[in-house]
Amino acid sequence: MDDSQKYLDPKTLNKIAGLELKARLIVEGFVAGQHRSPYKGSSVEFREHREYVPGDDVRFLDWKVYGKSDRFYIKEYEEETNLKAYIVVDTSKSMAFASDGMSKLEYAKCVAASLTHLIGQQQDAAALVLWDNELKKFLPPKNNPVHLRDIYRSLDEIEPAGTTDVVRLFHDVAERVRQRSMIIFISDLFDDDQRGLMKGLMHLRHKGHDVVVFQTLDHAEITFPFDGMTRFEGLEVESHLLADPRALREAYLEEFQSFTTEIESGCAASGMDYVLLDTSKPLDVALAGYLAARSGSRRN
Amino acid sequence: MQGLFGAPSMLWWGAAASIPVAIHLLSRRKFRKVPWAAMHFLERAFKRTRKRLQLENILLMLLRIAILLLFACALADPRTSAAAGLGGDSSRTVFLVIDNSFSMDYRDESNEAPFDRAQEASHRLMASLDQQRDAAALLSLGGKARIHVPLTRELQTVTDSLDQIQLTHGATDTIGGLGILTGLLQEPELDKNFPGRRTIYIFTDMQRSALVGTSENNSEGNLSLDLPDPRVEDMLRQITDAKTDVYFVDVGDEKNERVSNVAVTGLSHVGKSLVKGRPTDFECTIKNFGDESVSGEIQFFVDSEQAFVQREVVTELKGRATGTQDSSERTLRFRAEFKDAGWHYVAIRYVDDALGVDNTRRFAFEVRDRIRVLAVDGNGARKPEDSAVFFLARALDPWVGRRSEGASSFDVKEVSLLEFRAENLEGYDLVVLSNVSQLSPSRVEALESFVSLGGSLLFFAGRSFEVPGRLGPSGSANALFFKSGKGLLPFRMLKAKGSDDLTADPFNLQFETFDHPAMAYFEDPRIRPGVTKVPTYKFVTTEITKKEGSRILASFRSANQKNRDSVSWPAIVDHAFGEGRVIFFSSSSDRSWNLYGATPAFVPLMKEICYALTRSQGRDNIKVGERILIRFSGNVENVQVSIGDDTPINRKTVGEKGSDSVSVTLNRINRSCLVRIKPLGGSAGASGTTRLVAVNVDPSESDLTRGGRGWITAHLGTELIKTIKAGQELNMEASGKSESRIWRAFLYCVLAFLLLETLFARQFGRESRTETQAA
Repeated sequence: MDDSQKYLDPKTLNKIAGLELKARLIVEGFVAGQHRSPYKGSSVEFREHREYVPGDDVRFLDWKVYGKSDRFYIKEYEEETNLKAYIVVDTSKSMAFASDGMSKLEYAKCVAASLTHLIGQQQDAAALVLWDNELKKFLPPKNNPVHLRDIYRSLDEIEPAGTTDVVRLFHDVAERVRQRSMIIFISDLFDDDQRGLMKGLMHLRHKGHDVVVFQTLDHAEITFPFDGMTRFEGLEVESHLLADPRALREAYLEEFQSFTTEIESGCAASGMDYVLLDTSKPLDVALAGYLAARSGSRRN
Repeated sequence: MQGLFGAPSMLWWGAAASIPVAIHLLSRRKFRKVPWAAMHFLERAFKRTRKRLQLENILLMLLRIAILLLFACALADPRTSAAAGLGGDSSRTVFLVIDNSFSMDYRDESNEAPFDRAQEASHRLMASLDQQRDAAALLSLGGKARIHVPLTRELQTVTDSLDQIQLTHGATDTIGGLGILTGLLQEPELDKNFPGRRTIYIFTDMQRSALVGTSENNSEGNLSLDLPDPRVEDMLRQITDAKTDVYFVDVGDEKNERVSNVAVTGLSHVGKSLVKGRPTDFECTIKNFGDESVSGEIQFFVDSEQAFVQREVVTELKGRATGTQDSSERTLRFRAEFKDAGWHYVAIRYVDDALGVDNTRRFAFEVRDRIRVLAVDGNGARKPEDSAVFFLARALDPWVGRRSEGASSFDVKEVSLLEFRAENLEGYDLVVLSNVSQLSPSRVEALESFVSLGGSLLFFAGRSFEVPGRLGPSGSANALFFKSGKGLLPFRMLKAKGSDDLTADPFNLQFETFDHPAMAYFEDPRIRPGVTKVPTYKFVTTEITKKEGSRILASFRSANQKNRDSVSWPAIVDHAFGEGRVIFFSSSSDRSWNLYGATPAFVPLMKEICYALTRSQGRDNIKVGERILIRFSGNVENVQVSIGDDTPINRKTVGEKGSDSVSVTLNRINRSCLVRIKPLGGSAGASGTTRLVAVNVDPSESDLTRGGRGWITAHLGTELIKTIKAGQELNMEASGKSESRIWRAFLYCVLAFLLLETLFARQFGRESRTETQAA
């Protein structure tokens, strides 16, 4: 593994302080892994030359400069900033769950910061919405370093609280965001009202936004690997359940599978991008998901 | 509870059945807490499966409780109602059977014999019995099986008698022992008087020969060490049917499946009758029963065992592993001459191996002064040459009627029918009836008594048989000599066949066998024509019936070539009658019906027949454990009996019904020795002749090949007989801990329930995560 790529691993990333640094490392690691620059664009203006580094696309080599100086230079272009990306992070208590290492919220923060960094690098405008059962923070879309640092700081400071109420969130965001934008949801989507959840998403889509749903789940929630008598205590609710998890496992997985499948198929039916994030897996899945959605929106 | 379980204290382990319940209850108190976000999925899953989970939990718990309970029961050694006496009597009836055959004296390197171990183990078994409730009987198998102590609750009597059982020189009489036990178990009052569990313990060195039977019991006369005697299985089945367990307690040396042993397996005299002053050959057989080849010295003793008279070294007597059945056996001949008439014996000794008792064998016999022949003339001739026995008497003793003592082995006295009435037959070895078709019934009875006591009879037909009414199914001669199968002759005489005309087609003698002492001489083809070419014109035809003990030695066939292939008629027939023998010649001994008397061949033919009739039958040589019955003619009141070197004892004789003889019966002698019986008083006492009887070991016991557990199980099955070792296994069995195999069934149930529990747990999703992941 390339040194830079190791920062995609949640366990490694967990040891690093500072969300901004994390974001940079994640994005650079991701880019090194892709072996091609994400900064290319078609409807762009020339910005500057920079020295060629291994991994750069040779199509962008300036052969004229090479002919004059015998050195490789890459032509970089200034892309037009016409995309506003709203990164909406669920900060409810359910996001605090961590079976091993990084919690879902920590993972979501890393994903959000990385996307912010990537969006900033691409000269797009990034906005941040932090939400549990009510709006906690709203930073409107901008593209300047100060704004990006505000986003990093806001993400760093936020603590899990409240219950998940994504249905209200979706409707609220739909009302707030007037201009056609890309809306990125990072949440476990643990809302009792599943029908409302899909309606909310549809509402956003109807407004013409590009919606990317990153459902962030802990590995234990996906596999339910428990043994022995266990008392499960609700993070968002006061209820608890004492049971032998081996006996419940099959039924639980059925329920859970049905839930994720319903969301995934709902998103697909509405033309939304859906990416399931497992907190035990590297973060490049999220970035690849974003880029896929980004290129999709450009095609549109 | 004591009756239901062999080890009831083990039932305390049943308390372990509460463990699953305790674990279940404790698990509800002791658990780990997990903060959980996806709570509503879990709750929905729980609501959906709650009832099924409860049922599964109950089923699994019951299975786990059952597993622990069954395991505790298995540890407690449960009994069946029959074995434990469910609500019945738990007393035990034990039959101790000690194998005290001579093989039990074979000492291993530690100088310990199986018999020592048998006594020690049987004492241990007795000590384990309950003095108040249990009963025991004691039997032994050496020589002839016998009961030492009948079934009794006086266990001390049995224990005391154990020490009195001595090793015998006999073979293992397993058949006899099982026969006695079968009889005891079929006694009608047995169940009533001795209820409860019955067990037979046979303490033995597990020799195969003990189960294949003695050579006498074996119908073929040959020992086969491959298969048990079928009677053993039959008797064991009867015993098992009588709800009695049979255990072979192995006190043998397990390390040596076949012990090296050499034995003298046979000794007899060969050739003609034993007459003083004539050299006689004795033949002995030495057999190596071990695997390896051996060499050793053979010593030959005559009338005393202080110093041998001849010796021979046997080299490279091959073992079974290195040679064939024949090469493991060697036959040697020794010659002796006896100057005095009377009883003598010879002995053979092999020097020397670990089991000494079968290294010596003795052979006792009577040497006659001359063979005393009483020849009865049925012709009633006035001139000697017209006598029916004229040629016969001269064939046997050329100097008959003249002073010629010692010139011939035969001392022939010719008598007429009238004179025969007054003759005391006891003074003769052989009686010849020639052309005697009529006799008084009392004379016939006297003859029968004479033959049945070991005398010999040579019977010739003749002209007097042609008198009407003598032959045929209801003929008077048959009434006297056949007696519907109970008489001296083995068949009816039917009619005289042939012609008196010497020019008519004659008949020739044809030998049917040479495997008979009377016929063996004529096996030489140079000698044979002298007998077979002699014409016979008339003979008595007989019923051709096969009778046990009878054998046709020669037949008559037509001398005419055209009629050669026609039927043949018995000419010479040998027949056993009691302890004696009868030879029947269907033609005459004079010249009336044939020309034998006038031919030289008549001399060897008659001599060979008479030698064969009068040779020792070896009846004075018995096996260890057999009874000795000695008959004396006259008024002998007491006899002095010396068994080996023991102090002589006096015994009274008993008169025999319908006879003027007396007899003495001696108890079974359980060791190899020479028995001397001296008549005191009476005519026999006056003669001072001491009778000898040689008591020898049964050679079948010399084969020390063990029939291990595998062999016994393979041939008899474990349901009929069980084998246990004399040590720990006997202790377990004696304490009743291994009598029942039901614990096995419980263990099988435990295993089955464990399997079921695992399957259910897997099915119900209760298996551990690691297993699931591995799967």
